[in-house]
This record gives sequence, structure tokens and C-alpha cells, in this order.
Amino acid sequence: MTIRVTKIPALVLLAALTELLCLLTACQAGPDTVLINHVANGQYGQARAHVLTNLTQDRSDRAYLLDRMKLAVVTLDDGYPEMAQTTFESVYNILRTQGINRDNTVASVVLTENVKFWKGEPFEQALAMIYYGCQQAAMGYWDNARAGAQSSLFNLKDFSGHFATGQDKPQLIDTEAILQRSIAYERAKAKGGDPDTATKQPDTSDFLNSGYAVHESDFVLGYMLNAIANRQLARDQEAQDNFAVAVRIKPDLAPLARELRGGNYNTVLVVGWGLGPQKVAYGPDGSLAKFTPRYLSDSAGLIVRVQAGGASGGTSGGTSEGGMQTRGVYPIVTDVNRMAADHMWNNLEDVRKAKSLIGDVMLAGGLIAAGVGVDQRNETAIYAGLGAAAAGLFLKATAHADTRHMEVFPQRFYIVPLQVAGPGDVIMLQVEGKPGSRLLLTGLAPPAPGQPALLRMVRLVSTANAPQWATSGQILYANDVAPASPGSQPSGPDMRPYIAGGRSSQPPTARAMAAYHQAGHYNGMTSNELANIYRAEGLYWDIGDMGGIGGKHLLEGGNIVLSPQAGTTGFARLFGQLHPPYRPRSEELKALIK
Amino acid sequence: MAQSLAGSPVIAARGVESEPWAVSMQRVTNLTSDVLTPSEMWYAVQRVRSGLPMQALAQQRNIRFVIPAEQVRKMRADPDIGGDIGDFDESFGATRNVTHVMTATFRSVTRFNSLGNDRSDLYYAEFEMLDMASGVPVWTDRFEFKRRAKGKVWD
Repeated sequence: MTIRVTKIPALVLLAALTELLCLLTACQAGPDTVLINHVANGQYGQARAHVLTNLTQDRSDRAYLLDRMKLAVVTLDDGYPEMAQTTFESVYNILRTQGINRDNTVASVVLTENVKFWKGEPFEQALAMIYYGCQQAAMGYWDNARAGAQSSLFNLKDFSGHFATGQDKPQLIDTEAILQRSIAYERAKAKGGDPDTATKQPDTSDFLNSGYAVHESDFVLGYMLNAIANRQLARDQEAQDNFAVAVRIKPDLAPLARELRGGNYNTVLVVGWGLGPQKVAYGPDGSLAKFTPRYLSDSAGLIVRVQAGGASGGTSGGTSEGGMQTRGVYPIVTDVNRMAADHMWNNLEDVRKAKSLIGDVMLAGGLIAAGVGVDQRNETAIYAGLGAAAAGLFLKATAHADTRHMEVFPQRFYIVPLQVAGPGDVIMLQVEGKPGSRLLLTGLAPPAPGQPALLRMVRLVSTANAPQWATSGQILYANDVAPASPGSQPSGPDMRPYIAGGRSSQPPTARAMAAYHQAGHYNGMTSNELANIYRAEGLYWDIGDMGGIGGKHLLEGGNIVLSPQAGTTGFARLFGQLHPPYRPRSEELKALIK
Repeated sequence: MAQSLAGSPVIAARGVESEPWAVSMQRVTNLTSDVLTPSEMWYAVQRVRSGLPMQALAQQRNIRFVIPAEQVRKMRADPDIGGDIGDFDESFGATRNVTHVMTATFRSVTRFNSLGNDRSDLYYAEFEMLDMASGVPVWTDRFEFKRRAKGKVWD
């Protein structure tokens, strides 16, 4: 048999392999800029709908947990803790019930029943747990909030002990520094040397799995929420212990801890601002990953002002500005940028770098072999060489760090204790030096006497200028959560459902129907008949009917009629501005309007 | 639980002519290290309660279980059937005449096997029945539940 060997130009070969490499690296997904934009603008309803549209169903996909974390976070940020319940449960089941190590550190990937579950960076896991705790507290379950906060306080892996002290110690102990130390350790072992000399640590068989010291969590937000929850459960000693740890880690929280211990509040606001850091690839072949800030860290406090009962003046204490009394300026509790930059809160990407190194060797060897094969007219050698080069390229591409991450966490958190007098109070929040963050909360009623404090998760807008709805301070629609503002209460023709041209966004309940009758509308019509018209329009107002997950609100072009909790950003966005008229779809509604 | 309850001296001493007891179950308190959904907790409580001989308790000991206060509040606030619109107004539930409250508190202990890859969370529920007039517990007991989480850890 004659082997026809065609000399393959080296440039063609290189071009083909390079194209393969480009195709493979193009699979690395960038950040979801649409989602980021929605969240930065406070459009959490749009954000929720966007995530729902792209929700992964493949449990082995790294995005499976990511998608659900995003959905849960933006749903709670929008003021819908009940709607977030199902999603938080599935996130929690993956995070908590698998992969908790014996030393109470967490794993980032768990293999069970031959399916790999990606669990996220340790700091992402902790933030997901704290969000779950806040969601439970927002529904009045302080015992579960305590459990969620405790779940966020897992131990960390501290490799800093392997680094020299003083001048030799690197300023930043990042994953690259740890990787280099790991390689030095294992090379010393491979050469038969004393790895202790390389790392000044006792011999261990696997540096990355056993070469760390267990370090207690320094997640201040976790300790603070744990303390507040214990305080609500009348477990004062445990509350005191957690406040003490938080203050030890961050001493400027001492006045806030004193205020929270004192108990002179009936509402707690957990306030988020900004967007957390972005995960980027760096190092050889982009095999390492690090987090770089999207919103810069600073020490700006959160200004809190209250206008009692919506009238000027207000209660005693604090300075007054335009009828608003300043309650105080509250410090940052947790800076997510700093958390993400700390190696203890990160994954270790050494495996990717090792793959990249192997790829470099194979790639060089593969091209040489292919060239030799061509020169010697050896087809076998050519294909073997190309195969090795392709395998090497494939490894290089797969060695590239996966930069998918939780884009929607805030950059920072604040905690604000308040004594709310009634739903007429207007609460102003603004981060110092950031006028775009200004937000007026409305409709927040105090808890019933004898009941524990309320908690509200409030996510501030993160743009340069505050949208009009964020500063309106008005409730322009009748709803099933809080009364409309005095002077804005719908009456007459306005006291009809929004879908019929009015300003009521209440679900079609008997109470809503009674209000319409009182305004002179739909006499003789029952709430069941009205509910049938809503169903004909494809609208939902029961979480069970929605499968536990809902999209946008009716006022924003969606199909859910559930109101967010009063005193949240979602409530301000929906009811603090007028929305375009509704377009009827069904014949039943058109007949009603006529 | 049925045996424990029936065997307690206070209850064993009661008869059909004893002053009626109306027992209301309070919401379960979760003091474990894990978030437990309300349905999980109420299911565990219901499993224990389903072992109770309700008819026997009512007929022989004059003890009835009535709708919990938490459920009453929800019904009063319901926009379809609640106070200002339906029949479940402020007087609803008042005729329950609750004399005793039963509480349940969940606690947990976490254990690992020697290899560290098999974790068991041992849960136990502490039940207590309180006399509302005196605040004195008339019965307490504890029941265990087990939940396992198994998976290989890969970092």
C-alpha cells in the first residue's frame, strides 16, 4: 500500500489548532449584563422574569445552583419572601445537606449519585445562607432565621500559616500564591526533599486538602443576624455572644450592637447596596480566578431619616430636615468586595493550572511529533502528533477558569433597627455621598403587640441618579398590604381594578369587591365572578397556583397580582408611580369595562 | 407519645366527668442548626399527634384538641373570609376556651462517621403541655427523628 503523504504547511496546522482553541475558550460565559443592569436599576421584577426565562434544569450543570440562587435573591430583594420560599429551599438542600466536612468547612463541589453539584465559592454560600435567613425572618420565622444565620458561619480554610511572616509575607494571599506554595511543596516531595523546608509545615500527603488551619468564620453579617434572631427568641446569652464576636471582628459596630441588644425597636431593615465583585480569569492560560470590584469599597454610612405619620414635625430626638427626623448614620456591616478578596472565602484553582501546565508540554510535543512525521512521510506520526496537540489544546481550554458567579449579590450590607409607629411613617434611606441610592419606604406597619420584630430586606438602587418612584414616598394604588397615601386614595372611578382602568391592584377577593361596591361599581357582582375575569386574563394571585414561583407584577406588564411586602423596594417601585393603562385581552373583561 | 401522655399521673387521674380541657397546639419552634420548613415541622408534629387516641382522650379523659391560635389569626385576616368581610370575625375562635397549650421545640445533634463522609443529623422534638391558668407543665416528653445526608466531598 502506498501512503500518500502531503506535507501539511505548519501555518495551516497552527491555524486549525488555534481556531479550535478559540472555539473552546469562547465557551467561557461572560457576566449576564442584562441581569446586572436590571438589578442596578432596582428593576427586580424584570430581573426575576429574566432569570426565569434562562433557568437551567440540568442538575449537573454548574449554572443549576447559580440560577436558583439568583432567582431567590432577586425575588427577596423585590419584597416577595413567600414567593422565594420554594427556590430558597432547593438552594438550601444543595448547600446544606451535602458536602459539609468533618471540620465544618464547606466544599465547593459535591459528587453524589454520580452527579456533581457545584455549590459556589464559600463567600457565595455564606451570602446565600444569610439571604435565606433574612427570607425566613421576613416571614416572621425568627427560629429559622437563626438557623440560616448559623448555617452561614461555617469554618474557613486558612493557608496563611504557610507564608513567612514579616517582609517575606506577600501582601495578598491569593489563590496564585497558595498554588505556588502547593507546587513547591509537592516538587520538594517528588525530589525526595523535605517538604517541611519548602513550606515550614508538617508533612502532609495532600497540601491543598490538609495543609490548612481551620479558622472561625469572620462573616460579621452572619453573627449580627444570628444575634438579632436569638434576641427575638429571648435567648439573650446567645445573642450577647454573637454580638460580642461581631464587635470583636469589626469594632465600629459597637454602637449598633448596643442598640440592637437594647431591644428598643420593632423593625429591622437589612439594607443592601451596589453589586458584588466580578469573577475574572488571570494567570497562565487564564487558569486562575479572582474577584475584582464592580462597585468600589468605601466607608460611607447609611443615612436614615423618618417622617412620622407622613406629616411634618415628627417625634422627638434627632435633627429635622423637611419634616424628616434623622435617626442616625449606620456603618457598613459587611463589605462583599473584601470578603471575596480573602483567600479563605475562595475556591482553589490549582487543578486548572496543573491542567494548563500539562497542556503546554503536550502541545509543544505534539507539534514537534507532527512535524517529524511530515518530514519522514510517516502518517502515523503525523496523526499521533496532531492528536497530542489537539488533546493539549483541549486541556488548555478546559484549564481556563470558569468565571460564572453570583452577579446579583450586593456590594455591601447595612443593618438598621427602627421603632415604626404606623403605616403612615415614611422612612428615607441613602448611602452617604451616593444620591442615586436615595429610597423612601412606605406602608410599613408595626407588628401586633406582643409579636416579635419585623424584618425587611431592602435593596437600594445602585445607579447615579435615583429614579422618580424611589423618591415619591407615595402609595398611589389601592392594594392588599397597606392603605394608599392620604390624598392619593383611589375613589370614584379610580376605585376599580387596574385591569378595568382604575387604580386598585388588589387581588379579586371579597374584601376588594366590597370596596368596589362601596364606590358604586359592579353592583350584584360577586368576587368569584370577578376572579373568573382575572383568570380569563391569565392572571394569578395565589402562590400555589403559580407553582411557587412568579414573574413580573401586573402593573409592570406581568401576570401576578400579589403585592410585595410594604416597606420594600418592590413596594415603592410598584405603588410609588403611575403605570401605563392595561390592555384587556379577554371578551369577559371587555364586557365588564363597557 | 400516646402511652406517655396517657400514662402521666395528671392525665391518668382524669375521667369523663373531669373539668374539660381544650388543648391548643402552638407553632413548633426550631432550635436546630438547620432551617426546617413549616411543613416539615408540622408534619413531624402531626405524625406524633396521629398516634394519639383522640376519641379515647375526648370520651374517657374529657380532653379535646382545638384549632391553634396561629390558624385562627390567619383566618381572621383572610380577605375572603376574615373579620370585616366574612364570618370569621374577632369573636371567632374565642369559644375554643383554651385551657392548655402544647408546645414543641426541635433541637439537633450532628454526627459524622469515622470517614467523615456520612453525616447524620439527629433531631428530637420536646413536647410540653402547659396549664394556662397556672403556667405549670402537666406533661413533657421527647421524641427523636433522624435525617441523613450522604455524599462524597470534592473540593
